Amino acid sequence: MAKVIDIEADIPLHTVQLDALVVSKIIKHAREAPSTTAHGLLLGLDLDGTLEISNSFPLPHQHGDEAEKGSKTIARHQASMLRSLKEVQADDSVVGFYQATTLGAFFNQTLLDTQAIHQDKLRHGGIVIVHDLSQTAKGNASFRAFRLTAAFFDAYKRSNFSTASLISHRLTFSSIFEEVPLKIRTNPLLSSFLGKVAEPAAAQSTGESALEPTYSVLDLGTAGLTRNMEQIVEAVEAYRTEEGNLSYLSRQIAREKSKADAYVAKRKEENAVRVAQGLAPLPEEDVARLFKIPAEPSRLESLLLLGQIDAYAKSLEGTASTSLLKMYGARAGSGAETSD
Amino acid sequence: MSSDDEGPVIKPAAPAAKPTGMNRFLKGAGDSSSESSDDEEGDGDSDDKSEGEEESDDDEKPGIRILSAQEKRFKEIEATGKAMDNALKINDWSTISNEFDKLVRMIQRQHNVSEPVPPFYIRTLVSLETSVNDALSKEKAKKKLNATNAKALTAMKQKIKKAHKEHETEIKKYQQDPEAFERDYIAATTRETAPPAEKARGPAAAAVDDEFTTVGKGGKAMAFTADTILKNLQAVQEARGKKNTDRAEQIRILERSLEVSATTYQRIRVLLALISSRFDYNSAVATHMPTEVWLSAQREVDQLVTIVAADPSYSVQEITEDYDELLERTPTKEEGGIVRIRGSIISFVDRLDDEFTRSLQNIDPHGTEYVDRLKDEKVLYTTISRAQAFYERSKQPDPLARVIMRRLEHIYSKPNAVVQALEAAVSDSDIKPSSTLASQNDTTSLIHSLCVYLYKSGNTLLRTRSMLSHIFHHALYNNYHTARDMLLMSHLQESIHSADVATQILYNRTVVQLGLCAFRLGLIKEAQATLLEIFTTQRVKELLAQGVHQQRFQTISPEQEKAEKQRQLPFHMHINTELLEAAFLVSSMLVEIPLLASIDSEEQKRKTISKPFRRLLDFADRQVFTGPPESTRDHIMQASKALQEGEWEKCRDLIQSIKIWSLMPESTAVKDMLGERIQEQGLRTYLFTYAPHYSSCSLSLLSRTFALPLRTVTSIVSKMIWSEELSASLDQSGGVVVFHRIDLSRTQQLAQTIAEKVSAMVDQNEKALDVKMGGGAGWGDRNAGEKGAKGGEQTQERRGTRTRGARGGARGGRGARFAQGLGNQMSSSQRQG
Repeated sequence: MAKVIDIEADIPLHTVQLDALVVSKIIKHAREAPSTTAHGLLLGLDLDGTLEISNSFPLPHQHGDEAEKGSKTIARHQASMLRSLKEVQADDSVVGFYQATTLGAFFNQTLLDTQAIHQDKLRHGGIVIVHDLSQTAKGNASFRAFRLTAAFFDAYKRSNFSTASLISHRLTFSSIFEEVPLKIRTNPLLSSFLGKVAEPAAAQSTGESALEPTYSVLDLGTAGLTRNMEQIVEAVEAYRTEEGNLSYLSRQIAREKSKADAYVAKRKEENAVRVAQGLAPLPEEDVARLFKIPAEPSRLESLLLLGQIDAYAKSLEGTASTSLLKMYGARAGSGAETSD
Repeated sequence: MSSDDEGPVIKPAAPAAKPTGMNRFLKGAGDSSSESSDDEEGDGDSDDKSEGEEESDDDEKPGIRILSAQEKRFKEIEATGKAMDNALKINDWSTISNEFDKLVRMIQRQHNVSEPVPPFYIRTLVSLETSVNDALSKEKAKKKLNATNAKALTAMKQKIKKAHKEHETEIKKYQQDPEAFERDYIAATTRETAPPAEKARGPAAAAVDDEFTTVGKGGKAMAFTADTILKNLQAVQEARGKKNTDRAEQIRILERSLEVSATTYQRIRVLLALISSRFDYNSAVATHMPTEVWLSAQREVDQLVTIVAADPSYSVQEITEDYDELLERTPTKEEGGIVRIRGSIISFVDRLDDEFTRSLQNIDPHGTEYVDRLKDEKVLYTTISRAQAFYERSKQPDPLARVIMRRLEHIYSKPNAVVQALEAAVSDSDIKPSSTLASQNDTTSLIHSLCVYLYKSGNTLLRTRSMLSHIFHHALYNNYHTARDMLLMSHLQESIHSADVATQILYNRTVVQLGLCAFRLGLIKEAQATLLEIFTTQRVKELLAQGVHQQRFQTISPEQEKAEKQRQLPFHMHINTELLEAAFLVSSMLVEIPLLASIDSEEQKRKTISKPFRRLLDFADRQVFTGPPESTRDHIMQASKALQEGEWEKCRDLIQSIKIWSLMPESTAVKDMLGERIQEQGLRTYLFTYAPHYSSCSLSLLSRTFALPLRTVTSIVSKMIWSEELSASLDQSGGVVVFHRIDLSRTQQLAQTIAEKVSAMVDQNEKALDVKMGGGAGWGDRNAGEKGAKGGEQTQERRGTRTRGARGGARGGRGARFAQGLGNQMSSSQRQG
């Protein structure tokens, strides 16, 4: 491995390496945050295609109604945080941000916007780490690293999400982001400690481990099911509405277009008559002024909603299949008991 | 010429710009002043007369001396000119304006009898122009004119300009050489006075003249003998449609011609012209033809049909070879022995019918006049039937189809008694169509025979309309199943949206009538489903063409409004919307209330069968205080509440006390039927509402509570169990219903909701794809039966054409739009959350 000083950020990122410190900080933040949309900044450095994220700090929660004020405070907080970090000689280069989410549905407009800004400004375009709360609650800490794909970013910069643009960029919800492999690094001391802690106590002792045994594997996972389904219902409903809006708009457009076409045709006819009569033809270019054909609606919203539905459905599938399996298992077990 | 003029002497008021007076020949017009001498006038007249006599060889009854019409006209023109001059002196522009209008009108008339414009007019025009310009410039200097005068002045300016333009060449000629112009005029008049003068000679002219005459009347007076008829006809026809033609006068001429006409040919020709001019009689001002004129037109159409039907050697056709209008024609001279005359009886019949409808549209339906007018339908119907008979005999399939359609339209929506009355009049007439009530025994078969003819004729529009009329008729006569089957088999509901407005209205009427029919027969569910489509739009009146819808957000142009008004049905054809609403709401109540009771979860509550009813019910629920019911709606809403609470007797009483039922045929039977339905639905509602609270319930108790026989109760309960509406089982031996309670867990409920939502989403996606691909599936997906067959096509279409489709987007149901509005709210609330 040629360790080259990569000034121009030519070497593309191929992995993201997350420090254990960051992992625990994110989990802590996400669990304690009042809403499910906890987010914060990631600090670190890239080295030879690996983005090493060594630290992070949370950003204050932002209320919907005071968005403008909130964004200002966030900016101030961010600047002061970075300054303070610099003062104590800690990492202060922002490489991305993290976002907590539930049930894997992380597609939303703000995430996209933030990441788009980062991708434009940061070295290597930055990265977004998505942390799934609901998975973590089940004992599977879930971290995924994403970047916007080039095609999406191009469409985003043109802010053109019409159907034609979607087709030409070959965009679906699954091609908005590309996932970057992520690994978690613990320093040797810590890993040895963890290994020690998790290690079952020696057979000869009382059988107690340093850690309480977890019984989360025995959880049937029905608790989250309702919530998950509600989310799906909501997302489908929202999608339906969005789709309705779209079709309404497209009808509107078609109507306006046909009006304009009729006007042009009429004008052409008139002109033909006028030419036949030997008069100068009337100008034809004022159609655009006369008829305001509305712009084709953006499909981004429905794209994101589809992504959400997909994510919800996948997480539902995951939990449902495992819990079904567990249920069968439990039944078999209890059946065996009763038959005895 | 100027040597013998006397104009300037006689008229001191003439403006300076008026250089010359009249020539001797025309001076009769000039001597409106007292100074004119009698002998001179007489001289002029006799001169005129001798001129006339030289040229006319068929001059009858000489000796009656009348003023030449032309001179008379001229006199008036002069008088107006003088009045104008006087007004000019005192700067009274409004008088000038009025007088000028008069003058222009007279000149126009002059023009109509194709006489040249007199120089006097041109002179006045020129002088007026200068004085107007003067006055205008003066007025600018000091604003002393009052408002009306100033307005009149500007108006005058415009008028003069217009007149100037019309007579530009003459004015130019006049300005170049006024005398030469007048000479020309005299030369022209001496040549041209003769023909009109000749016409003016007859005794008839005198008769006409002694009425209050204006200029030009004498010119059109004619000799009414058999010989001159064709000439007169031509004159009338030429004047037809011109601006200042006196229509009443023309009609009078034609009437007299008709009296004296000798041959069949003449009679036909005169009748054709007469009927046309009767229809011309009122053009823009009145909304419809006066009844008397209509009646005479009707009589004349009858007469025409009789003549043509009686003598097969004459035929009236829309397209004929050219023939000389002025020649008398007889069958013997024509090839084939048939005289073909240009004209169209069917268009007369059409017009007659249209005018009848229009008059009904415009007469106040609550007055006696309307009823009187309605009585004329009998004669109109007879005329139509006679026309049908005529076309049947002369074997002209195209007009025959049209006339049959007209006939059908008169009887399809009428109850038996009315049809019999109409048909009675037909059977009295001398020529009868092939199908009459007498020959067909009853109304249904009469309509059937008429419709069958139209089905066989090639015209699709007529076929559609007759089909709808036929269905309407069946529905009116309570043949619900026949009517429904016909409607479904016609597949009209798929194509009706592309039909013309009148047909769409007929379709709506038919559907509504079908719904009412179902209601009368006690088929509540069918009635509800049929009427729902019309009622969800909330524009019932507009859809049935029984009133103009008030558009709140867009204003309609006067033309649109006029078109809309013309579309309106006459009052006697209306379907009572209040009755309709009552029927719809009651059937909605009977369907919806048990359904409401069966619903327990919130999600399911959104599924509504009848949105209008649900809306009303919600509104009634929100009312803090409910008074005694007043309107039909109040009755139904309170009845619904009573039904919800299981008080079926109160519900029944409320429903039966609605007054509008009296408008329904067999109202007592309908009321009884409603009572029964309320009992049954009350039972169902009761079971739905209270099933969760009981573990079992005795059938005899139910039967007592709802005053239903035990068998009925058992059958209703079994039906509910069978259709899985009620989770219960019947214990025959104990005579009880045993309820089983099934509780859905939250997860299960949610899973159900998701399944529904997702299937809705799939549907929506498919629809969106169809729109995108431009397949005409807008109506196809409505009937699921066709869907499978179409699927294959559509997939091919999807692959094949990717470009078309923008157009298809414009079409969309109202329902979708509604979902839109609702959806917008929801999405915004969600984004906030």
